[in-house]
Amino acid sequence: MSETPHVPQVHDLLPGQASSVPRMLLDRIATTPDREAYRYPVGDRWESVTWAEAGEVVRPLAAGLLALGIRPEERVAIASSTRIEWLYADLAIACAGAATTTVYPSTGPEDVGFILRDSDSRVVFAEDDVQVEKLRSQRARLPGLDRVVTFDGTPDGDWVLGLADLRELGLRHLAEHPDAVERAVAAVRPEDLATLIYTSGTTGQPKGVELPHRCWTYIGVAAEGLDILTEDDLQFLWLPLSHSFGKMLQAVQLQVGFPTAVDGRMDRIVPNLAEVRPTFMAGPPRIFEKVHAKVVQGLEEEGGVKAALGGWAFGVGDRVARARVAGRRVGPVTRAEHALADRLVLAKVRERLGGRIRFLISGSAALSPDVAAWFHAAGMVVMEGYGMTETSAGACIVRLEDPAFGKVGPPVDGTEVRIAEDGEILLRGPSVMRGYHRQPEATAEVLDAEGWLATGDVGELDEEGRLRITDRKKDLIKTSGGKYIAPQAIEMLFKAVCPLASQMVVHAEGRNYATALITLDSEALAQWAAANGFPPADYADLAALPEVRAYVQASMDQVNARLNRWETIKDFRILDRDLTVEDGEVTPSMKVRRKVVETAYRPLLDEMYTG
Amino acid sequence: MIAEARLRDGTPALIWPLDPGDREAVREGFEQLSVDSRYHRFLATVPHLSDAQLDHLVDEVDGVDHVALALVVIDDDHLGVPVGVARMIRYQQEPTAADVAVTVLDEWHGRGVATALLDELMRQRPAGITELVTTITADNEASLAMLRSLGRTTVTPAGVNRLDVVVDLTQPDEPAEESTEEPAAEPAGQSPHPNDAGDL
Repeated sequence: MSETPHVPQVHDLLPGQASSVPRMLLDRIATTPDREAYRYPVGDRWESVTWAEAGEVVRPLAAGLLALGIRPEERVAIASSTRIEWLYADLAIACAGAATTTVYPSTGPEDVGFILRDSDSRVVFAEDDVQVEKLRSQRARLPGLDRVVTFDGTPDGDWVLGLADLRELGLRHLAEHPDAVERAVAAVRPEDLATLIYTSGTTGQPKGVELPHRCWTYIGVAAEGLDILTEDDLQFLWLPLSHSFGKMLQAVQLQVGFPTAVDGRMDRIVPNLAEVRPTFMAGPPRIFEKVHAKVVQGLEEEGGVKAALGGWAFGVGDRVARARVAGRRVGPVTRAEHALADRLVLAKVRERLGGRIRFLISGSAALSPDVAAWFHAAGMVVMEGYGMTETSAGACIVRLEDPAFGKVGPPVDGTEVRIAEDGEILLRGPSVMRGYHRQPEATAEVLDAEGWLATGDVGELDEEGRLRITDRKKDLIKTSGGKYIAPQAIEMLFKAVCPLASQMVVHAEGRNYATALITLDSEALAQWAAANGFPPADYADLAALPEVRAYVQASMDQVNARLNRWETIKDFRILDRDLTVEDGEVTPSMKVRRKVVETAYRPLLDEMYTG
Repeated sequence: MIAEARLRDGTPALIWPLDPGDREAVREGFEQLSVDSRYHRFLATVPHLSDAQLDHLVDEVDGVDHVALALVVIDDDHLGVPVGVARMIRYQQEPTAADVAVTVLDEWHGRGVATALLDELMRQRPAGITELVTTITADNEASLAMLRSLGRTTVTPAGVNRLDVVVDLTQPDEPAEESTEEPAAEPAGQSPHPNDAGDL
């Protein structure tokens, strides 16, 4: 009954790894029935449920799905923002032996239609009337969609049920078949489909990533193996659960058993942190950048003593944090200074996140090393992780005891990382998807027969086996030697180093090394010329000065020193004018059109590859 | 002309023409953008907006050949918070064609800001514009989807990770069957956090 295009690998369960997601839940309920499981907002306060109570909510919902005739591995979709009902619905789907398809509440009707059709979803949990309306607009094109179950929306007594209706159905089903849910759970095998999450490719329709149960149960044991979380932790969860990053956190919770406070409303994040006072939180880099920016800006605006104090405190914090990473003890003076810095400034920063944060987890995009170091100085380690939907959002993570900023850490136990000849990161392990839903060709493009997943990202491993992501493959230029070059990263370095820089177009496609076309900022150039004693002249004349060339070359040398050998800019030309709209090199809104520039300056480029 | 708008979640917003007084707001807003958002906007790395760039992006807005609109959200304290800018600029050599660009603060991505801005921009577009001509990164599917919703769209690859896009505004794309929903600002593929939707 499997619809998998091909199963390259069957993974044996690791010690402690549950056979399925619903098994994890039932085990959790049996182990710690009376501990807090979830906390969620009701009006302006928070309510809690224990694991046993959560089980009592989930069981009749699961039975309700069985009563609706849902079969093992059949898809049930959830179109909702992050909230307690999302978690209940997902666990009910798992306990019915079915598979969850996730739909963002903001996804448009056409795309929702596509996802539900492609996944053959038979039932959809819909958050409210907005979501229900969207489904109704697509109904004619969704013959396989039997029922909609709405959390807050209006039931119509027919196609649209309320959550209470589903529960009622389930209770009746349970009266006749008291062990229906336990039997459904017992039948779920590790390789059965648990989740179908849609991701967009560069071309064509979105692809459904098939994640079997062993993906999530593996993520659970792998996270537990990091030894950083216990039942006494408290998570604050606001990430979209439609995304693998959010789903992953749910699996980790079932394994470890800490309570989770859940509220997906973005505008409530800050007040919620103060109310919930979590011990850890995960998020994308933006959330951490935002906290950083707010605090820094606040200190700057206060000015004078406060700003100076802030700068000093973070300096001390940084010193202590770095010493700790290096395993060095700090002296008594620094310790005393740190205590003061902490009391006056750093503790207040931690207070903004509730005051009890032990660590933060950043994923889904690159975190600036500066921001990571800043949090570390304030006494909060940001553990940066790396994964993608195709690996159930997990693969590598920075270790608490070894926070290397700018790296995403070594792989978690049971996952292997390899760097391909051309620099692409390859991953293998139990968190790797079983394939794209009904797309064997697309699956074969990224997953080989030995189970290695081609990530489309480029990176390198250091001596300690920690991964550093250098770029995404699609924005890369491939040299004739088959090496990838990241123009964006080079441009960023160059513009940071060279104050005269205006535009830089890195050229390497099909060439055996990289070169660049450069334009300079006319004001900065005029200033530089005046400061260095050159008589005023127009841009073209100044740009042609050998001294300007030497100055830019010195910047380029600094850039090259930080690049891999094959990425270095071997030669460059400074153009005699900036890129113009008239020649189509930039659009009127100032978007650079690399191809037009390369075509226009072809002779100049060719010149750098002759002789 | 100030227009009222609502974001997807009902948040009230105002859309008004950018004026020279907004120069610092534009500069500061840009500083808050993620590296990817900046790259999507300029197709190049731009660490800071230079004075020359600000001259062009703010002072040269004339409402005739260069229309630029800012979307301002009204927060709980009834203060306006600018969260996005969209502009159309006529090509001098091709007076019926315009370039288009939209920038939305990262934390506002996926909430319908870009869609609201584009809707209004279409209404207030420079007179006589029948075609949008622009370039985007090939991985910016959210923007491509938004452009497609404006009319018949032709896409041509333009080197590594670039697409030249032409939208014929006189030829509506297949009508989005009278749904009240907005065109997919977030593609079905769904970015992690509404992260890709917004910068064009």
